[in-house]
Amino acid sequence: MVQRLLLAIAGGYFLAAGFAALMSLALSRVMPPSEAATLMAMPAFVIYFALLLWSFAERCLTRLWWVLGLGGALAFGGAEMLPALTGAPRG
Amino acid sequence: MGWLHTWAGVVLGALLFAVFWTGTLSVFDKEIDRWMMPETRLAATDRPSWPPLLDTARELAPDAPFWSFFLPSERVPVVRIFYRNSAGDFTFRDIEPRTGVLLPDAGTLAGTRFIFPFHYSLHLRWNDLGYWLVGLAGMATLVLLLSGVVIHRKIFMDFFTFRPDRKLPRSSLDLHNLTGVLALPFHFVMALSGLIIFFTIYFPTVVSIAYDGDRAAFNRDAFGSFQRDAAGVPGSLAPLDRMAAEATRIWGGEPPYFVRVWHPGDVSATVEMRRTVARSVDLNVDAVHFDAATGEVLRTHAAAPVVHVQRFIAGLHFIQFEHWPLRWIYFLLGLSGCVMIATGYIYWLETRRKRHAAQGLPGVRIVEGLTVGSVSGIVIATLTFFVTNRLLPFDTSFVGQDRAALEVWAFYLVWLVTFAHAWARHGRAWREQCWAIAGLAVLAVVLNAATTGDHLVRSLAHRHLWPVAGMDLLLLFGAAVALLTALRLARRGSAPGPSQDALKEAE
Repeated sequence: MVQRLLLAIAGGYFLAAGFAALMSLALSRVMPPSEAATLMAMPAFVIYFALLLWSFAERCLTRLWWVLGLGGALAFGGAEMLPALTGAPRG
Repeated sequence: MGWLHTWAGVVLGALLFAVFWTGTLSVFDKEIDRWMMPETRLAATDRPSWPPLLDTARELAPDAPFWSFFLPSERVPVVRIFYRNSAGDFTFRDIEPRTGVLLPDAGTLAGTRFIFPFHYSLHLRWNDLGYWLVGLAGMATLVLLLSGVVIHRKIFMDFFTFRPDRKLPRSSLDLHNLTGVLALPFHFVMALSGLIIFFTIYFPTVVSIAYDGDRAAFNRDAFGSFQRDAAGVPGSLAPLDRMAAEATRIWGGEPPYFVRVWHPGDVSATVEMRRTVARSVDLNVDAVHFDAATGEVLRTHAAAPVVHVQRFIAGLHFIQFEHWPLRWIYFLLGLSGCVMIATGYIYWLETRRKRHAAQGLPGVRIVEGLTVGSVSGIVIATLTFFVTNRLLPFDTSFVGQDRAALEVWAFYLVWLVTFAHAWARHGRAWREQCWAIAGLAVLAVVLNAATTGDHLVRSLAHRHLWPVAGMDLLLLFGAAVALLTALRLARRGSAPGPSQDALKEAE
């Protein structure tokens, strides 16, 4: 139970923040970065909310670990790598 | 979902109640300021007079890196200047807008500087801990609301059901459902918009990754912040009236509500003006920056579309626009949220009381103390804050704490005492704290009349004293509700917990 709670609160946040960071970085190619960051940070709360609910509904803890942990790590890793991959300057 | 609703509610309910309660009071934070700062109970003025205001600022803060002026509005009859004092502390004073007369140091943080920041930061500044706790409470509110709807069997029926004559668990559950369902959209929007207001705190990585850590660049792009370095050479200041008129023209007739002089007295000083938020829902970020010496426009800023959406959501939460009926509705819906939390606790207690007693479990005892301290306790603490404000003379200081800090200490110490009392006086705590609420509320009204002369007959007769009258009337109303609750509890003997406990906090 403690594990699930930690996974839901910390893991859910990790994935939501990582996804929003990756998307805002990608979107700042097509709009000003301030707009992209604001555009992704607002739905990030809703995504976090959905992930919280799912974490309490999902029976399989291993799946939670995979999706939240690996998904979040991939999102943050991607956000770090994206500027290097596309060769474009940041911001 | 049932266990989630129960556990999250019991564990976080106390924090939620504190946030809901101070948020509800913050709807009228500026009116609380008038009540707690009698020297600012002035008749409203239309336009400030700049030359005397600037003289006052020069005298008050000659070497400050900036002067921020919040101009008078429908709800605030004074100019409030924020600056850094010689010790480097961020501080403020109130000024009479027409004459520039510096009003005496209020010696209180009152509504806008204590109750309102408590609502979103709990005054825990260390590592933004308070913001994160309130953010957690906000997410928990969303989860609680949704799980509350899911565990409902007859949501439509419950909407019309309140059986106050039934046994306590049933009637408190009815009231819990009624307030929860009736105000569901409001609570949901308030929790989500409250989170979105502080997205740069809650999702700092989104901003820092997009800007490679350069937060200042984000603030410039999103909110139009702008300043240039001081040159160290003395310079002049062109008339602010003319700049304000120019800004008003740019904004199609809407005046500035905020004026900041950067590096006053320096040759490269700039003047920042921000457009009023009184006439539309969104907290716009429209700005005009002037060269202070020439009065020429250096830069204008208006929100880009997405930031505009964010400012609209923030405006929904802040309700800074002029709309009295809506302000009262926010207040009442906020109170209904307080009732929802309190009745949720009471339902939990009453459905477990017998079983816990039979099995010798301590749960009910612990949670009951928590409930009493966090519901009636914070109301008592708030009233103590008001009463202390009317009792402490100007320039009081005690063990190195100034008057404003002493008021805050009174709030926290009394709040602690209410928790201790709730556990010590098991079974009688509700009743006794209701008596305390009634007594303190009446005392606050009496002290206001005695120390300022603005008793109800007088405050009701003068338009500019209506905030004071409103606060006095709400205090008396709250005292009456608390009194009735206490009497009813006394009649029931030691039976605990009335279903309408939270109602008594009509402030």
